Amino acid sequence: MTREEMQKQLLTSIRQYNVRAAAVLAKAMVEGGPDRVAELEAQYDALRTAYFDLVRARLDENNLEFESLLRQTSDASVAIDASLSKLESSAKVLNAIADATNLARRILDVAKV
Amino acid sequence: MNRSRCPVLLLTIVLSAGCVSSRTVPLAKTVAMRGQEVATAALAFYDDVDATVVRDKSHQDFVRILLLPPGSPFPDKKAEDFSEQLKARRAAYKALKSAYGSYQAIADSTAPADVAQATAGLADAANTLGRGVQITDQAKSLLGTVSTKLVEAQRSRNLRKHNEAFVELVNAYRTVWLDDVSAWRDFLTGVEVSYSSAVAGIPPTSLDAGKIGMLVTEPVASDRKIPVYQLQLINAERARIAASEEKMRTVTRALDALVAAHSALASDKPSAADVLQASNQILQIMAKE
Repeated sequence: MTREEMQKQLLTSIRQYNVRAAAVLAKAMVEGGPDRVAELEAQYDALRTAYFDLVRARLDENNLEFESLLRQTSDASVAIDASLSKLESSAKVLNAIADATNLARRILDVAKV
Repeated sequence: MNRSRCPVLLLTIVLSAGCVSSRTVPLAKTVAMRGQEVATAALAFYDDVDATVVRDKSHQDFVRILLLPPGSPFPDKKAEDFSEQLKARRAAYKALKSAYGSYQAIADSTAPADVAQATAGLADAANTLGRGVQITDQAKSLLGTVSTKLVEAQRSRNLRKHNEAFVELVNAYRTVWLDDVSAWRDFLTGVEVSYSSAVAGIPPTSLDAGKIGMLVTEPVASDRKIPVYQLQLINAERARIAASEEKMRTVTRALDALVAAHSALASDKPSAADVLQASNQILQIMAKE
């Protein structure tokens, strides 16, 4: 998977989260209160920033090895979509987003080395 | 070469290469103006990126207010920062714009000091592009050729040689620009998707159906007015993004035409028709924007 394909995957996750955000966030409020809502939104922000960081990295032309991390990130990103389509508990959605974001972060850390 | 424009003293053998045909000078000046306009268009695109960053932050906050359940913290989303990337690119295009000022001076000049100063302006553009932006090997190679051409141009003080240098310089700018295009397109897509998907997800309970009923003038049933309103918000953003993409395409096409204009001027016998055709093409491309 290329970096561009990874970006597409992240974009799909952003889209999937947003169209269901109202329901997911309402559920989060019931399950964990404002803190859970804030946590979920912070993860969404991290997901979005990861997408834009990949764009920035492309602009900065970092040509490093990305492939295996990209694959892993893609898997996590697909997991977000699956969680959202089933509207699983907000904790599961949160974990799936966190996995994707952390992997995207690792991609960017590798790029900085 | 039009001898009437040349100094007559023997000393001017050194300077005579700085003299240019009276036919070429106005053509070169026309191309210099087009070059400045193309650089300005590129800078305008970067201003557009800045405006998009500001709009994106505002949009993210707006949709979050409508998506978050009551009792949630007030949203204050972080603006995506592209200032470092923009800084380097702006510096490069400002230097290009300034290089076209120098180019006009080269076209006008018969004084070696002016030519030397003008050539330094051209070299500055090449150096800024190479220094400020992380560039590909292809662009590096093109910039290497610019340096060689500049040395030749400076030595001969010849407008044609300067045009040869400009062919390489603008080609390098074009290469770097094209390297960036898909990343900027993804930036714009990210902004558009973040907003449109969130707008599509706004629950009807977050909107004032009565007010929206007045805003939506299409003849649709009252229970369809909210989705139509959401569609209008999405379409408005898509139109803004499409306008930014068009600005980017304009610069791409204009850089192509600018290379053609310099190539025509760099030939042994510059064809006025070819130069003017390329110049007019740039004008048409810019007018479409």
